[in-house]
Amino acid sequence: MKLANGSTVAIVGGGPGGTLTAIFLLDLAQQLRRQLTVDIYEPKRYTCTGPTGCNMCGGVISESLIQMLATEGILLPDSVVIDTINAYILHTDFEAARIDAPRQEMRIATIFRGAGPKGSEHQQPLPWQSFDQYLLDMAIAKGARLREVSVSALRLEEGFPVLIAHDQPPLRYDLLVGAVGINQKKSLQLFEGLNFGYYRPKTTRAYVAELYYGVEQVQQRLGHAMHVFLLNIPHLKFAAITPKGHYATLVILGDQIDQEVVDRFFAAPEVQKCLPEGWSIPVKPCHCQPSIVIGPAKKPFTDRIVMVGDASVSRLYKDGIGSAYRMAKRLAYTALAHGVSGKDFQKYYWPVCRTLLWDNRLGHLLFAFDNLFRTVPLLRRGMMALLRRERCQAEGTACPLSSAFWNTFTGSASYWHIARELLHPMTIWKLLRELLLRNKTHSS
Amino acid sequence: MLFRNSVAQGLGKLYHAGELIFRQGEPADCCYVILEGQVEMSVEKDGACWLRLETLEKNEVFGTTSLFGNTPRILTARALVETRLLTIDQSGFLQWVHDDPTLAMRILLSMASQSHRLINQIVQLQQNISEHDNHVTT
Repeated sequence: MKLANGSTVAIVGGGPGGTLTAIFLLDLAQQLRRQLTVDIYEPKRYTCTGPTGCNMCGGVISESLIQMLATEGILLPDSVVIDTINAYILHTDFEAARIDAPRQEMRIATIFRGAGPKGSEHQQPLPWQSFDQYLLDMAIAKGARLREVSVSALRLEEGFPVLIAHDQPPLRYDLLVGAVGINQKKSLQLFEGLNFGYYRPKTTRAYVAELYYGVEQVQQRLGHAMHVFLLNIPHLKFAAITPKGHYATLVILGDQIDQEVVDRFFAAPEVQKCLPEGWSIPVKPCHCQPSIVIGPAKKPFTDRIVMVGDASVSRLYKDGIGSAYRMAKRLAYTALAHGVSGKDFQKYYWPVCRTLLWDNRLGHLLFAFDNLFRTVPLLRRGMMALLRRERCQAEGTACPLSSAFWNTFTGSASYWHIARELLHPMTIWKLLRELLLRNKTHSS
Repeated sequence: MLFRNSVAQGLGKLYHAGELIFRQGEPADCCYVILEGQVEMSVEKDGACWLRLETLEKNEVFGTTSLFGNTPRILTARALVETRLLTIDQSGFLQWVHDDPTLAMRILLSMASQSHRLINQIVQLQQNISEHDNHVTT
């Protein structure tokens, strides 16, 4: 059960999971001198501003993904890179600490998934380009066919997946890829309805808003840094403001993020410092409350059907596009080099998902650990003092806590790698020493 | 409000024309992808350029030889014009290749094409020397 010369592939979903799968399938097929027909089904127009053209996420491309894409020959043009980041600033209730990029190089990009925030459509053409559209164009340039229609039904016929789309006769494919976003409930239902045991991943709600600052205010208030807030607000796990050209993107992650959490966030004095002077929070900014994946899907593959990206498994809270990249790459390799049976996916594709899954379990533990710092002021002070001390150290000296925080915020390293940095005896000793010093100063 | 693309400096690091990227003999812990501009690879002798080997263009990868071992840089790289480069860290790269060996494919292709070009240059050089020797003998 292999993809041979003349095989056909349907990819439902034209986000990064789908387009990267198409790109890697077509690239590898060309190297193996096989002719593939790849159809991408995506009714969304990424050329539209606001939620209509957006795949709803914070829009940060991690340091590791930028490097991996460049190694693959995928260079993001300046029109797609809306802003660049070379530092993170961690804000707490009493001070802020800056963590610089290891090489002082711009290797993190902020992007728009769609054409831009709601309200930016008055200017045509816009000076930037959608990240998702860029990947889609690349897939089309490599030979993929875009079908701008919704899939209305899926069924199995003699072991082959059959796809029915609006105004189109039923089409039988050799492989059906579910690259459906986690917010596309109807499409997920179609895959669940195929009765091969698939069930969508567990999710929670996030809050994402594009706040108009104006380019000068973005540079003045945020610079080229992502501002992360360690606030003791119930339900809040992670909050950050990211520079994005004329806009600042606010991302709040946690359990049950509602308007009350958002209002408390904006009212915090450390957040106020990052807002333009005299600026009032827009009544209705371009915002969304997308679902984000926090658990794995059940049985994401069977013979000739496989789920990729968010519909399968995604890295906890961070680097969802990076997870989609890893899965898409392995999926293409499995389908062309090994086969498209459930057994092939189990043997060659599933290990990538399983690695993410185990790493996420550790991620949950790390976020619980993070809660300790959020709620115990002494721990927070010790952590900030250590970050400040590491910053004053000579270049080349090991800065384990800064490195662990950098990797946590950027999503550049696995949670396993971060845990090793955080739980290194030297990190713990340094932190304990800071805590003892703080305690002594406090008691004297 | 009128929007403009505000990226003052895109991804990577900017090198001015003539600026040194790395010098032969230096320790190596990364390779580079050219995002914009041109890079000249050369051999230096007594601190000065002795042999210009090749000029690399946008999208090409260089400094890869040292990725797979702890050998120092064997060539000197210099920006020919204003050039933007993206650094690929050795430690990260080796870990990614361990997880996904196909990621090394493009680096291998680039190394293969580079060695192909260099072999052609050696053959050409040898031909020139032979012709020169024949000319002197006759």
